[in-house]
Amino acid sequence: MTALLELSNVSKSFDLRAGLFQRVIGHVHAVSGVSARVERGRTLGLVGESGCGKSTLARVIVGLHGLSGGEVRFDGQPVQGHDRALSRRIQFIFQDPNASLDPRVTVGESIGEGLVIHGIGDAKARRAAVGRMLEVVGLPPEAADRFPHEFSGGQRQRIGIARALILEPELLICDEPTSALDVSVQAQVLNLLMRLKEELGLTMLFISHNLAVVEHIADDVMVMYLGRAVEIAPVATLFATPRHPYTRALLSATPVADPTRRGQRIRLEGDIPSPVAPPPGCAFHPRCPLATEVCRSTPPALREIGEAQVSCHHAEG
Amino acid sequence: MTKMKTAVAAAEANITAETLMGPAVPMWKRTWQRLLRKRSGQVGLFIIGFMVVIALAAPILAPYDPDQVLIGVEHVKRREAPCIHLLGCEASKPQHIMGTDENVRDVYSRILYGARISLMIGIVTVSVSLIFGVLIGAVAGFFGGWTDTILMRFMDVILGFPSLLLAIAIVAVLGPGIQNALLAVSIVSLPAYARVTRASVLSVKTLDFVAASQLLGASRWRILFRRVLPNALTPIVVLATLGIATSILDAAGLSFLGLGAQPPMAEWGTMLGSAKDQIFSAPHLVFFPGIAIMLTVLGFNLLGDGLRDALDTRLN
Amino acid sequence: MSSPLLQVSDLDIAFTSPEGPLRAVQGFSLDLARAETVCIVGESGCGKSITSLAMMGLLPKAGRVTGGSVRFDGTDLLGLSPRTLSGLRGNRISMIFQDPSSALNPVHTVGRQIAEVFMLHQGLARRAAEAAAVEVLAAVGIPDPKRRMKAWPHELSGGMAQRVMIAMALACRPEVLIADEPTTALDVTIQAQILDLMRDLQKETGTAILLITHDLGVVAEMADRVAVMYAGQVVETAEVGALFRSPRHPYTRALMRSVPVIGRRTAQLEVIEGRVPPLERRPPGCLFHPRCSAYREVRDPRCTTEAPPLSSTAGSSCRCWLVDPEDLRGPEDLRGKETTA
Repeated sequence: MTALLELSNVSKSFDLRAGLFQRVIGHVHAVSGVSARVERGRTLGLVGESGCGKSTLARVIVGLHGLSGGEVRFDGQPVQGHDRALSRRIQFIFQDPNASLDPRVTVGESIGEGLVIHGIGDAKARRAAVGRMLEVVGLPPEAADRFPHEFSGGQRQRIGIARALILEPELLICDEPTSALDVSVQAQVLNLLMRLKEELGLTMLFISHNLAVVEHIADDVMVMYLGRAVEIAPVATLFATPRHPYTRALLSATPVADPTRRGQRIRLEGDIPSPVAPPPGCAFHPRCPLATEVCRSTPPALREIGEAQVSCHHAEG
Repeated sequence: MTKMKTAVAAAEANITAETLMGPAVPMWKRTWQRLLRKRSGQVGLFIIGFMVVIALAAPILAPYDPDQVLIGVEHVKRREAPCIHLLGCEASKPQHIMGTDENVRDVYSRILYGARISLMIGIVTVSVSLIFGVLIGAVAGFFGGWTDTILMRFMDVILGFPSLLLAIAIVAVLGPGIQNALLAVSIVSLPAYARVTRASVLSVKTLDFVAASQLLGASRWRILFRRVLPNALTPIVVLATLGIATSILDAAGLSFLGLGAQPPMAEWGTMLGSAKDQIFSAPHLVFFPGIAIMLTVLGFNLLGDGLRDALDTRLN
Repeated sequence: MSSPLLQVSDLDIAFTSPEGPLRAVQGFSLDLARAETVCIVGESGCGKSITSLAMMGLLPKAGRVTGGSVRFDGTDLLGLSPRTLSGLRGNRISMIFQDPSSALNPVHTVGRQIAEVFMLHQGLARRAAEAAAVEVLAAVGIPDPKRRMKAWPHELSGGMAQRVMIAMALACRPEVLIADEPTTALDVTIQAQILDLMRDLQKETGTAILLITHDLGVVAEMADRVAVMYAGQVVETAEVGALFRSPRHPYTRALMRSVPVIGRRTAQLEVIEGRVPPLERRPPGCLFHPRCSAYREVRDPRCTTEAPPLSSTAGSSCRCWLVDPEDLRGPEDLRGKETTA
């Protein structure tokens, strides 16, 4: 079975410029050599802390950023930049519901824009489609005539979902869709996404910094650190037996809503290094409790250990 | 012109996603309400409203034809001081509430008609520089790269000259006259609009709804004109309001120097210019056009200040 | 136990608006003892931040305290002159905020800003103040504190900046630290460091911490006691173990079940329908009833007409018509369980 989305060795670096003539003085290595597959109908969760490159990776996949190296294949075909045909098959949900809707046009216009661009249906048919889509995401069809500021954050996120789904995409990329929302609203949006995935047979790439959310929604999880994939595994495996020391630290650092499990934490020292000058060898070694000489000199490759792929010299089955 | 430059700088500095992201339609209603609550907005609107009424009703309000030489028509002299019957001027003399000028024309009628020309100058020059400035700035900011560098360096060259001097040079080349003066003032104020538009477009184009449009397959021009520009207009509206004042002043300056509106046209700057030698012998010839220019410029400046506050979503 | 260090009773806060005053916080009461950590938890718009600002006399212009008292070590803070109050702030009571980078002055070095706290509140000379600043920077775990003194705020990462804020807040060994979402802007591994740091410093100095957060995980990590706020009211208070073991108020219960928890994967999360009502459209009766699943089952008419009181048994309290006050447990019972846990 071919994967719907296949990343091989995807890299993205940004130029760092300075001075009068804006000379390139360095590179931000946002994503370095990430390979992954997402099978049709599955959800890949992408977790990591800020600066780990998860959002950049999402934007590279949809073509908002160009590739610096490697290849993105969608349904077997290589993707180069963003093209119109692809926009009907891959859609995106943004993190900030306040910035992702044009404040000056009605919600209906925002949702229906995809139909207009692709010349689908006449005005009447489009209006009906927008109304149906609003109902699908749990809003009244009359909402189409209102403006974004009349809605709460959670409702705006539903509108963003409606806009993404109206072109009936196969792959939905969600970039931290609930992290700007209140906890009780987060549950509404997560349930909605899970229901839609089921009903529409969507494939999803779900990006979050929240491990609990990813565990809830994903089938497989990829953990990223400083632009690299450090561990990829089915969700149950990853949470039951995390193998990479970073994954373990991340799991144990996440506060659990249970006061009886207090204070059993691996404390990671130091800050996340700058992606401009990532440490040599394994990028995690300066903070890693297991680091040895080999970690400082040789970057580890992604190895298969059981069901998981782990990029660590010291990880064992 | 300094005022204009400060406004440009302030507008550029103020552009953040927050100021640009104010809510949509009721925004205009809310802006209007906030404008009316502000003293500067009230006074500015009042003055401008007053000027517009004068300009429109000039034929009704004016007792004389502004260009009519009254020698032989009435018993008046050149540069006659104001004569107002209500204030005790002899009833036998014809009433000229702002006196007469060196060609024995009624100054009051000329001032009233002058409002038409000044407002027309302000609106025409600002419209011209607005359209081209916004286009240049939008294209430069949106497409970036070499387009941006070339367009903006060209704008910087224009901005590098003292504006009135450049306007004078342009008129000197094209020849004096009201049309050329309008063109010169438009060219001179162009870079301000281009720069503010560019800064505004640069910050709007990074917002997620622009990316969303792109991901739906929208063309670049559609994104620029449907998504980016409408959301980038707020600081430009403020700048244009202030720009009307600057343009009126610049055009009056050109006319004062004899490069703009030519006699006998009833233009305030021209009137000032031709009476400048009589400032002591016939002060009314300088006083009334000066006041008229000042009031109009003040009106637009106050309105611009008020608008800026009213449109600023950070102040509630 | 002696009388609490900080005692807030019946605090009312209103905002002026064109439509008349809006009651943002109603009847907020809270006790904070020495060396204790109390968490205020709630969603955005529940009034938790406004409450903490009001305690410190830092309400925004439109806001006003319309009733109640905030007693700190016997004196009512609300009655103090702004001058006396600002003498207390940063000295005996400190605050840290969500966004550390905006709370630091960008035109002064980190060292100077911390030293200033000592000069201002303890009257130290510049040299002595700078030496003291190096010490607190070291105390909050900043490597190479001498060099960091010369750093500018923009050179610090989010975690470093929050450490600096904590260093400043703790510079004068305050008796009370009010922390408003101190780790919300930080990554989890950094959050863990900061929470550990706060706890360690508390052990050393005996500072009482009032921690405001929306994150139930952080509450479970840090709190001794918890106050849950909804729409400007405290709806439940309890000792932390009891709260997580057996939440009483329907809102608390729903909130806990709406958050995904690692290791407890469910097909569907429980959802609290609708959203927190905006200030100008607060419902009559119990503020939570339009979203309350318990009300939908029972349809008790009191819920829609009469505001429920905060009924308390020693140690815990709950604002709900549908929870029997007899059912609230006594403190002895809870304490026993907590030590065994």
